Amino acid sequence: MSKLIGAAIRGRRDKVVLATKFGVKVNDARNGIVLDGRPEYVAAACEASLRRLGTDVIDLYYCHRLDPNVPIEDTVGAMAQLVAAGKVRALGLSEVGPELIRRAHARAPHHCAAERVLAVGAARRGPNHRNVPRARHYVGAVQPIGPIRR
Amino acid sequence: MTARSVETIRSAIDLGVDFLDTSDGYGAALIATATNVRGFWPQ
Repeated sequence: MSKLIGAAIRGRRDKVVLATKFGVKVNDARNGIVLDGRPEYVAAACEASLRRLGTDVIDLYYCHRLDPNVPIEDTVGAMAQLVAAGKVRALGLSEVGPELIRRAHARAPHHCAAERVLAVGAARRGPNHRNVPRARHYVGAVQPIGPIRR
Repeated sequence: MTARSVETIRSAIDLGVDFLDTSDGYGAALIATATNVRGFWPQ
């Protein structure tokens, strides 16, 4: 999908805000996923995304799912380094709760732009909709995931 | 990757879709889009 988008935005890059994610990988047996939030993986995943998307900078870079074996400060710290390097413009966190948002914001207060909240919307408001006001205390935007479908 | 898929995304951009959100975790099946995002985004 990233290569497809890269091809589609060629010549149109300045017309779109481009978001992508890291942290969810197919396992070695190719029958499931593993979560990876290690700083070295964050950097490598970003480079790979930039290459596939055919761009110099990602506007919004999300941690797709938090790695339970890596402190969020380490993952977000690596993400903040990507901002400092000019490879990413803003950071996002997906499917995390208020306490993790607070910790991430404390680590990179100027870079956390967005949080994705599962199932917020008019059609069916899941329990995570309570995260919205809490998330907005720390971040500039909250992106609902599947607000109609779920 | 198909030429038709690329052309569909390009047409969407030309029609005003300005937020493209993807992930390797999605495979080839899904892309999230929105409109009127760029105007709010720091340039």
